[in-house]
Amino acid sequence: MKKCTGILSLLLLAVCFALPCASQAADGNYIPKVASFDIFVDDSGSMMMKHEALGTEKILIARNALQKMNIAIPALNYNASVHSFAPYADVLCPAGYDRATMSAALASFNADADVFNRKTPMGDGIAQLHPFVNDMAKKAAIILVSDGKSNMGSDPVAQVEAMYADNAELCVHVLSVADDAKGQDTLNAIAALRPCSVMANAGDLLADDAMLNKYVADIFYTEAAPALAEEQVIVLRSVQFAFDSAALTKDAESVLDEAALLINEQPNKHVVVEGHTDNSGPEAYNAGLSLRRAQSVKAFLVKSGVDAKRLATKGFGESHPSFDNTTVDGRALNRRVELVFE
Amino acid sequence: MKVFTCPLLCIVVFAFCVHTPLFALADEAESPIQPCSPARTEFVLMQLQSFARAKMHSICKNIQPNEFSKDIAYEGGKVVARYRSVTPEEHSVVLKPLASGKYLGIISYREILYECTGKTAQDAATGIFCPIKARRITEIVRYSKGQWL
Repeated sequence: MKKCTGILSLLLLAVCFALPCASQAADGNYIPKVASFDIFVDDSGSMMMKHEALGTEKILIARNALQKMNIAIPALNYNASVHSFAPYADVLCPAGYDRATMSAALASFNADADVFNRKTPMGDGIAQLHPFVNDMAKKAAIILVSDGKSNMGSDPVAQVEAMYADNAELCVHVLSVADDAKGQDTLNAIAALRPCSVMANAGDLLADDAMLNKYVADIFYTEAAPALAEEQVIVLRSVQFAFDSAALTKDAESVLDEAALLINEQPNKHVVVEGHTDNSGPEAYNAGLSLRRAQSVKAFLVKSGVDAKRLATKGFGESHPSFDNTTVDGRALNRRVELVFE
Repeated sequence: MKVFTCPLLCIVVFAFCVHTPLFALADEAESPIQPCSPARTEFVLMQLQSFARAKMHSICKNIQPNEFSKDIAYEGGKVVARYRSVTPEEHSVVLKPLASGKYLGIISYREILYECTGKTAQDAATGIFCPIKARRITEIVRYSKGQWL
């Protein structure tokens, strides 16, 4: 039985050079779907045999597909581990996911093991993994890698059902190297137990990058919505002006001094000083008043040290209401000057 | 003579008192707490927080267009529905004491514009809306005569 070493440094360098050093998954905009995952690899005699269609040992097809997947898994804060069954072994102890460490662990799977008399107790292997799964940080994913041949021991489908009964936030995904209908049927039955399960064929993932990326995304992450660019706006309410006038009140000076400070904190930006009114009174009068108020504000800001070239003025009057003009509060909110940073 | 000097004296004294700092202090101090003390600042901050909550509530209630009253426009052969949204709880408040013993308040919040397109006004208004624009709004308010404006 392989011991849990967690350190395969001798293979690390070789693996790094053997793998394509192509683009790794961009991690910045991904939200992890799981807290932990375990790759559970069928290491039985049948996996040492050549795939009927692909002509390569199934364990090597599986290993290569897993290595390719490993490159596509984003470096988010997963807890990761690797186990094998037939025989059951700890291949990589659970630890923070590290792409290089995972790659080294996966590289340990090879086609050198005996074929003869190495049957596949898949159900028993899953049963042996069960206690480990109970302790996994949830939500958790198991990636079961197998040809589906289960020719001794307990029923693997029943064992996965038992694992599910104890773990509501678990999903068992399948990476198939099955080369016969019976093996594929077993794997299909496991994947059908929960709607979250994703099934893929290892040969297909090796041949199709888009399919592989989708498989990884379906198991490991969702893409975060792109952050919205924010427009900066300073709002001054009408209380800063004398009634029906563009003259600033004495008390408003401290407010505008603060606005000047905020504007000068962003010296590279231009600011449009927009005057707005409610819909009381004639439209043309409101347009004029709003422009005069904007100009008053600009004049004060310039006196307070803002470069006049950075400031433009517009009078929108009542044409751009942001609030309900049928209420007292809404009309008060509409009477405003907005300093819009560009 | 005495009949006229007494009320006249009262008027003179009253006029004098109105223009003394004593009344000015009484005008500004809405509580018995001394001006510029930490206790006063804390009191003023509490008032600012309360003012900000009321303002955010008013903004949410009166913002147009909103989720219940969307703006529908016909643009480039499509129907576009839009509305603006502010989350009342998501605002920040900063109190700025000034050298003059007065206070400014900075209330900051985010306004999001949502949009949905459709073949008909019904489709656009009831479809899935996506955020397309955000505004970071800063309101500067001042404290005067015991209240925030």
